[in-house]
Amino acid sequence: MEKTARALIAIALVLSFVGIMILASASQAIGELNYRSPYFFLIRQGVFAVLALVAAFIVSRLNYQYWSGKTAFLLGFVSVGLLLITLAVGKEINGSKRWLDLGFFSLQASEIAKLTSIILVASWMAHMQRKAGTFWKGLMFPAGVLGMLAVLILLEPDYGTTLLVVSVGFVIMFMAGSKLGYIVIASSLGLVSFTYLVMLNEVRMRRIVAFLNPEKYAELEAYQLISAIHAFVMGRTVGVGYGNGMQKEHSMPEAHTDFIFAVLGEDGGLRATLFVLLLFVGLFVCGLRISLKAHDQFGKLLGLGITFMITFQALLNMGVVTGCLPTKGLALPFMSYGGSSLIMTAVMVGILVNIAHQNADEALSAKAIPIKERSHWF
Amino acid sequence: MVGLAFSGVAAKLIWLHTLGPFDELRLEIAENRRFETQTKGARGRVVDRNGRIMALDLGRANVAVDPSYLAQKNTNVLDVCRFLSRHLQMDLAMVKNKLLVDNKKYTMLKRAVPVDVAERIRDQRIKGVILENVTKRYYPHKHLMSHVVGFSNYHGTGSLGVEQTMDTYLKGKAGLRIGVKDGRRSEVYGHREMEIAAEPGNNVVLTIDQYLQYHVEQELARAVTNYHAKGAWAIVMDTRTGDILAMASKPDFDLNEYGKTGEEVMRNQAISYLYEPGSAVKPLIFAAALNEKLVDPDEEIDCEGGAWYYANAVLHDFHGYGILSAADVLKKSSNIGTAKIALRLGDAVVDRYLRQFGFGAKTGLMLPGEQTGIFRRHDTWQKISITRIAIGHEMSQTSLQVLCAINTIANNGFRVKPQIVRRIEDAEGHILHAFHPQVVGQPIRREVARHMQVLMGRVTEQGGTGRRAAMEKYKVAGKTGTAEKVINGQYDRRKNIASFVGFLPAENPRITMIVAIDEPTTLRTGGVTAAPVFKRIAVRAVRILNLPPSPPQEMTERASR
Repeated sequence: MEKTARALIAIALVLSFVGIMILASASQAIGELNYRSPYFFLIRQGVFAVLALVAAFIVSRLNYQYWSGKTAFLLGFVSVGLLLITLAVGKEINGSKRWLDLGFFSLQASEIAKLTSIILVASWMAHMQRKAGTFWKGLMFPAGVLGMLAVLILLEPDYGTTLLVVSVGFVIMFMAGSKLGYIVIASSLGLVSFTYLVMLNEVRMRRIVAFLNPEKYAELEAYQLISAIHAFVMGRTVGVGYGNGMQKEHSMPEAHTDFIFAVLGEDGGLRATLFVLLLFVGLFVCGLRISLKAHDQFGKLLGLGITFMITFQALLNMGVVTGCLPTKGLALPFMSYGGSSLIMTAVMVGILVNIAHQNADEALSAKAIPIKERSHWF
Repeated sequence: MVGLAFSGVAAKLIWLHTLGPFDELRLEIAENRRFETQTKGARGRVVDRNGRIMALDLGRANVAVDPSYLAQKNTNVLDVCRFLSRHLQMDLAMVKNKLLVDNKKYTMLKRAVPVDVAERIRDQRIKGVILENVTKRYYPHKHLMSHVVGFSNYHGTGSLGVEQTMDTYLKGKAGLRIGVKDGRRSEVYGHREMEIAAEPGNNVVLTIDQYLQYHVEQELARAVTNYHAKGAWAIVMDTRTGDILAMASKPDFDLNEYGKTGEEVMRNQAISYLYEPGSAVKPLIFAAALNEKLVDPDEEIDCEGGAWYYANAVLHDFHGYGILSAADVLKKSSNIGTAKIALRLGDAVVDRYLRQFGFGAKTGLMLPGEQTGIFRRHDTWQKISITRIAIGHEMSQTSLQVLCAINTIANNGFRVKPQIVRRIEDAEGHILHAFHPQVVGQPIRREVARHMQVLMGRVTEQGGTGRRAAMEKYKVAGKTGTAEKVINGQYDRRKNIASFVGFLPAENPRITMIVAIDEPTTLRTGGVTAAPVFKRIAVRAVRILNLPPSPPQEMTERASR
């Protein structure tokens, strides 16, 4: 089991390294334009990377059991509070209120909410044990908690993260034993209302139409998407060379964040994009193996939630950038610029590593105290 | 399912990167990124004979805005409006008008803003405000020698004066830049394919002396005011070389504001205004007669008491005279006396001489707008014509033509081509082309010219028409001229051109000058209006050119005669 953990750590480190490297290429033009320094984003991301490493290390040493029970509720309150504050006084960028301005750092509350939703649902479902199949305790309560977080994120608005949180939540519930029928019905209902909301929202609707008809909307909505496609096309097999890509030169406003994968595609070509894709596949496999071997239900659900969260997000991002999915504002884990995203992703990997450690330590797992008895410690 | 999704993305990646039919698209993308621009070479300078700058290119910036981008990226567009209106000194309402439109991607706000103002705007880094570096032609002396220097227009093409005639020299050589542009259409650093540097144009060195020009313009302005004249112009020429030392025409205009100037004001009257030169032609007739040995300065000519009937018309003198010596005919400017001398020469000879003096042809001065004038061939003359042509009627000439003709006498019989450009230098100061003095003819013998210089010197003596042009220490030779303007084919007695053309020092001429006053109203004749202006300019000119005074015997001679 230690082997899988080591592989996971290696994959995460390589992804982060490739991420920093490609960010250096992608963020120069935009940094020069907006902050008069080509290294503005690189330096900040470097600092975030160090913080992320420290956070991941601490979390990996922290027994994952601590996250359940009262901690989960506490995290839930904190997340809801942060989301509410964000909605009230958040910084608006491109029509979305997603950031809390802390001066030196903009906190993205939804990043914390993502982990919180996993912990909350996993903790609850693990706690329910055999009642997981019931309607109220197995479906309505966790779905309600998810719904509350989802609505708050949706209000920002951040449709991508909402979709992510809800679908990962349902995956955890399904794994925990919620009835498939319930899940199908609930997710269908969720999907219908989500679609309805999308259709109500003009910007999102235009994005969908533009996605279906990119040439017609080349000037406006699909501009960035077409730029990204052009980046991949220009990259060919081996890429145009590190730093030589041109699409990042103000053709994609989000080259350093959501569209960084396209920059990688132009600079490094198919070699690089397939390599990163395979790394995410590896991450998914490692995460799955670790989770399924967890000794208790909470560990298993928590690990699965994390694994699916990172994988789904990576898939959604790559799907959007390659033109398989309509545009959503989602970061590519490990690679896109952003402190909240990088640190939270690192924390998630740290938790996975801890789960792996616990699995390996038979003695420790034998001594594992049931959650119920331990909850009064907090 | 996750595996399926990964496979899907991988398949799309392989399709986009390699398998898809995107070769044409790749070429198109590369072509779209490429840009080719011509870079402008700075226009050369125009300097006076001593290197004082009259025209130069200055770095400036055009301030433009992208209104839609600006509105999108700035929370308070009104603040931006206020800021721009304050720094560009534009009306706030006008700035708002240009900024508060959504559907535009580019609007020019103000052209050719000084560099320091542009820098202040650039420092604010307002998104949607575009600053473009340009050069602007600047004329530091504004009105001074506006007709000579001329201006280059918005496209950088010379449109008047030396700026026009020397355009090919002044114009910089365009450079070529091929590179890669980014999504915001500006060049990407480090991807330049080709750079052929633009080359600056050559500098034009004028023959004009800026100091002298300044004084000439001052005196002309004063004359226009004093005589309530419509305008006035003057040319000062180096007698021996034909270099124009000063050429001015009033009214003039600020070269930097050429757009607000009427076409009439832009006309260089000294070379384009056609008028009957009048008495200024008399010395040429006299010189021709002397050259043909048909007149003796001391012989007596009957001036008929001021009215002479010839060829069914009466010719009048301004003041009536009885018998005058031939020399005094010139001194007193008798029409009748001059006409009688011309009759001795005959039509063909008068025609030939006047053409040799340069009448009826352009002088070839390198300024735009020079007029040829009208000087009919003698076979179309009527019987009366020769008596009228001898006194400068029945023809129209420019002041420059008259000046060049008189200068032939001053220059010992050699007619030289007037020059306005001394030399062309490249940006480093190497001489590319020098315009050397050019003799274009010798209508009269040297001793005849020397004799004429003495005779014309008498015009400014006591009893001469040009006595108001006389100077204290320099002997001035010259001739007055007063011509009635022809309005709709009729002489208009109230409107005339009063002129004085002459040279000094008379015994060794160094400068030749013509002064013309257009429609003086308080006083009329050249002797009382143009001659004093001539003197005032000459006083300045001899100091600036550091000319030696005439020997004392030349000056005392005046009293003896």
